[in-house]
Amino acid sequence: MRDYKTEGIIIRVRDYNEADRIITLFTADYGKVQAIARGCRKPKSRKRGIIQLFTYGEFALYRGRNLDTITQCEGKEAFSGLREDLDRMAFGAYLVELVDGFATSGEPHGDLFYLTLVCLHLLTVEDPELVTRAFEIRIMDLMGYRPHLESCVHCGRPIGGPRVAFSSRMGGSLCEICAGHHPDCQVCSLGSLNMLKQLASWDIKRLGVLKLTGETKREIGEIMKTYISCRLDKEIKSAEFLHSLAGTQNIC
Amino acid sequence: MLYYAEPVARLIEELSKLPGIGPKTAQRLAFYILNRDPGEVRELAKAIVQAREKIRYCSVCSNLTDLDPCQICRDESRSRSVICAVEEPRDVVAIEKTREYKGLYHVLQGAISPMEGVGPDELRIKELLARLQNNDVLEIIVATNPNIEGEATAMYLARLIKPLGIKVTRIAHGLPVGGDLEYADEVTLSKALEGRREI
Repeated sequence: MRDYKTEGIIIRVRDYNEADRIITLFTADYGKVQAIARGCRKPKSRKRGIIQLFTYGEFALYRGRNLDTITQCEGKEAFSGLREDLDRMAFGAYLVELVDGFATSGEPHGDLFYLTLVCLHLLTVEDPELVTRAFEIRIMDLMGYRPHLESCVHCGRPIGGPRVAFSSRMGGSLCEICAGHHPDCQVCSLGSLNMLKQLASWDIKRLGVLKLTGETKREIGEIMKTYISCRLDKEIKSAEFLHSLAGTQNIC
Repeated sequence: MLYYAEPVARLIEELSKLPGIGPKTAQRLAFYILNRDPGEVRELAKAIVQAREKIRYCSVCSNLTDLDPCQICRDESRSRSVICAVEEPRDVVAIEKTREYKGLYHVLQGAISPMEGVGPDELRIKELLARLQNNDVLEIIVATNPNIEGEATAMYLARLIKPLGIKVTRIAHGLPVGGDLEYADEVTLSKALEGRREI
């Protein structure tokens, strides 16, 4: 059977030829799927509104040698809240780029698919930075890179004291004494490490209840950024844009 | 083995570098050129070279032009109080064809695409902000494409320009003329409902 149907989220879109687009579809059953949507940039195309970044929908595809072809599609959720707010959109772009970086083709990714869908929805309503941090730690967990936060990764003693550290290279927290032996670690507060632990296990739908101070957010952000770049050999381009946005004021 | 004489092979190779031209089309174009009158071919070659050499970016609006500033920027009859920001020079032509707009333009030369690594610094945004320094401009119409990249660019521009006290507007989204309501997607239709007008 060369025809198949699947649900998916569009995580990358690029223009191709006169009126086509090549998209990366993230599906629960087949992982990442590269597909071409022919003629979808023409004003009369029925696919035009659906073949957009972030759209979650149902797709009918035809298997090809290199690329599958989208024969029909129906949008289920366009996440329009992400299109109307620059910050939310930038966080959304970062989130789907992470999925693109970690997910593979041809194998099921049910848990990650569900997580992505929930987080894209949460991005439209909750604090986008908090949602992104929770997504980061959970995607690392699902990909098998859950950081060890229960004790010191070096000596095994329980973590305590006001200033502790996180080592991206060793993949976990360090106690105050061991931090001195690892110059490449990031010093942070115990509160940030505890919050990181909580973000990984908290019921994601109740994320809005968590309250983080600016300093904790910054520390967790720095830790996750280094940790991800340590595990993913690809640069996340949206991170640069997110960084540049931080300098502008939100007036929308 | 060489199938073609060297000059023909070279012509085919050069033509096939053009967008949308594959080896077969390049071959057909090459043989068409070979069958034409030499004078005609010389004119074609001259037109290509001249266009490439004479055309540059307008120092005011960044549109493609042979004169600097471009004809639109020079035109005294156009309103100096409105600037329409577009992504590509082709978009200027599209808006000009409507004959509805009598203000100036600013070509951004692209749109913000966080995932492709195209940030605000890659676009002609600094040039646009520089144009707003004199107090003539009252409104910026953002006419970027209604896709994610275009929307991101529009919101980014609004964020930079609104604090300057200049009105920033976005072109409307809606149904195409001659379209069919039944086939419209939900996003377009909801935008069309949102932007409805009293008649």
